[in-house]
Amino acid sequence: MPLTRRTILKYGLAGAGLLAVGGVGLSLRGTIYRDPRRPLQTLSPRQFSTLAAIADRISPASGDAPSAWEVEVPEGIDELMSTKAPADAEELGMVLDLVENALVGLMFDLRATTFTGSSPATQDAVLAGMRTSSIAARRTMFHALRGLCCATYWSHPRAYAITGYRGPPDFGNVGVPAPIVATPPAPESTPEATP
Amino acid sequence: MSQVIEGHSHTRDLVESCDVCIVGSGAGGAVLAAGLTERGLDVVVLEAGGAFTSADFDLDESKAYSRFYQGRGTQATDDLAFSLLQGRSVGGSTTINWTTCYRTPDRILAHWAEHHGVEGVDSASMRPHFEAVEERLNIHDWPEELVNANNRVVLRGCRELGWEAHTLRRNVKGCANSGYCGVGCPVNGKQAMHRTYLPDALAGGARIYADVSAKAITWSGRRATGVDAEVLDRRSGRPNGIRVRVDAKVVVSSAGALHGPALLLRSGLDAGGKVGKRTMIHPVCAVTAVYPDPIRPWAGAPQSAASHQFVDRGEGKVGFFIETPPIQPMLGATGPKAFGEDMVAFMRHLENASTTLALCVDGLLPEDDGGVVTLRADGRPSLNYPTRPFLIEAIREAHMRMAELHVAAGATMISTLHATPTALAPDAIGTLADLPYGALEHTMFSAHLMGGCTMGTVVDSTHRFAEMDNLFVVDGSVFPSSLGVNPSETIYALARRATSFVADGVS
Ligand SMILES: Cc1cc2nc3c(=O)[nH]c(=O)nc-3n(C[C@H](O)[C@H](O)[C@H](O)COP(=O)(O)OP(=O)(O)OC[C@H]3O[C@@H](n4cnc5c(N)ncnc54)[C@H](O)[C@@H]3O)c2cc1C
Repeated sequence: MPLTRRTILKYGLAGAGLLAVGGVGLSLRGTIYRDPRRPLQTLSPRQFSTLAAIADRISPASGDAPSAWEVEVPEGIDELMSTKAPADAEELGMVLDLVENALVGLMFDLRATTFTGSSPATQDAVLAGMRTSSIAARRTMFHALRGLCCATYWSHPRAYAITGYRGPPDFGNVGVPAPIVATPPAPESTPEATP
Repeated sequence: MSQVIEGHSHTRDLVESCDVCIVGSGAGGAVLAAGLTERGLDVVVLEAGGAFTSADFDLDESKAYSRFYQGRGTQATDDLAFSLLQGRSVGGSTTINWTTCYRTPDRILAHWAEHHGVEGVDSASMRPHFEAVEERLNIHDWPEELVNANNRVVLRGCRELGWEAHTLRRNVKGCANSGYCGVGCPVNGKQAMHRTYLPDALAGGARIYADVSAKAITWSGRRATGVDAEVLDRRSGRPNGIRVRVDAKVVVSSAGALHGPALLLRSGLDAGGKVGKRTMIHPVCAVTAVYPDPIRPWAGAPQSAASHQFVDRGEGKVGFFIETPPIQPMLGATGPKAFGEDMVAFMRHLENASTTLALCVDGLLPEDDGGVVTLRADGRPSLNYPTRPFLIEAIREAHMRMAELHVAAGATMISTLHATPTALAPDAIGTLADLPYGALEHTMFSAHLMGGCTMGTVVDSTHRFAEMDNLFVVDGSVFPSSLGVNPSETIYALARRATSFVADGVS
């Protein structure tokens, strides 16, 4: 099967087809909702809750490392998606719907529960299964979800503090607001200035 | 002297006319715009991204990738196997690139002449163009004493093994050696297009429109007539309803690989199905290693050393060259495929971690025609880049050689970016040969997007589009193959060379 975005869509349609032949009750079973702390811009409450559960398994609280929820990773991703092409937000929503869907879970992970309704150990197993799945579209989905969650999480000062990184240096404002032409030349020498 | 005109300043539809309308203000578009205004031509530049200065570059990764990169930093191949980094602002990718500069290798120019029918792009005729851009952009050797710890690993490992390694040349002046080139230079040290050729073009009377995205080139018969564009709201990235129409005697696509071919395809210009074909990406894989002493891979000029030991691996093999990336935490975290406690453990090593990249030289083997750009339903480019067996062989070899390099440089643990996380002791790196390699088996990426409007096929050796008299392509999309070196200086020099051809097109 070619590994394209279209495959994900097809895969989504297959899920939808299964719902139509009688899986509705199973597929809608038990989403555990989480309340966003900012108004949602692109995701549905169900998609947001699924994303929150995924983000917390990708970045759980660990020692001095905060959880993804603590640093508002799901809200950050929802906001990012509002600045991307509408098709991208739709694709993410579809991927989240599939991960949450208990029927799809039964097909691929032998779990008859929603993702949000599963135990942390099961959630980890689902994510690990996606990561090395023989179905390329599932690996693609893992890659997309992990990338969004990790990028949002590790750019937060509370998260990166555990790496030894102290955040960017402050050079002051050596430029001026006007674009391009009025910007003064680079300083001739700074303490670390180089050729 | 005029300034860049930003999207929010328009209150109604705009109609412009000019001698030359250039779409894209990056490495190709900027050099060309400056050259044309110097010849007294009336130039309009349309740039989809925003206009930014050092005042906007606060070095915060959480904002920078979504502001200064295509696709808000999440652009990728169709299957998400390769993340594709590409700039999107006034200055294009040069605003956020890592400043490494090389002249085009002679063997590549010879290959283009022999296999792609490219004429007049040999080392002798390119020399004056290289010299001119090197002077304007202050391209010079970066002193070894300023090389950061991450790049020193490359020098140390290679010297230990007897492999070729060298320090790099960079386009900087007054560089603070901070390490943040990839999120915009805060001290105006980088001699990117928004600091050099674009101010030159403005001084020459060019009108540069930021936040304006070209939808299509309009044309009739063999003549381009202009460009239809729309103003984008900078925050949402979506059209704000204001349209821009530019009537031009000559139109130039300098929108870069991926987006340039997409512009042509949206315009109904496919050069007999050739537009979008032969897209090259210098496919990149990476190896990370932990050292006893701090590396702080986020600090210091991101790229200042390289090894070309394996760039030419002989007949039938794909070569690769070794460089380093800057690793601020966000960029570093997108590499591995670990999650949960494993990921936290990985990141706790970051301060002592060095990462090397192997960039594979695609498009040189006869059977290697790279990837293909097509249009998505909403008009954006989609890149299908297959990972073929000869590339997988090179990626495997590159992993093993980079691991060897790290061991020789004193690493205590070697990690790859595989789906199943690997962390190996130095004496266990032989097992790398047994791991799976290829699409989605491990993380791969590219910051060098090339081809798709190749010279010799889609454009002739004067950059003129095959089916038109007054349409040109001047950017990295004209490369018939990848280069085996970082591409920016080749694009600057080709754009300078193209200036006279485009100017001739006006008359
Ligand atoms: C993170 C990073 C690091 C890099 N480091 C190096 C390095 O160290 N050395 C090196 O040699 N190279 C480096 N590169 C690559 C190099 O910068 C690019 O190859 C080069 O800038 C490409 O030039 P270009 O003119 O083809 O396109 P670009 O410089 O990308 O410019 C194209 C411009 O066109 C605009 N555009 C696209 N479509 C439209 C449209 N429809 N309407 C209006 N505008 C449009 C884009 O927004 C963009 O600003 C790096 C790239 C990245 C992303």
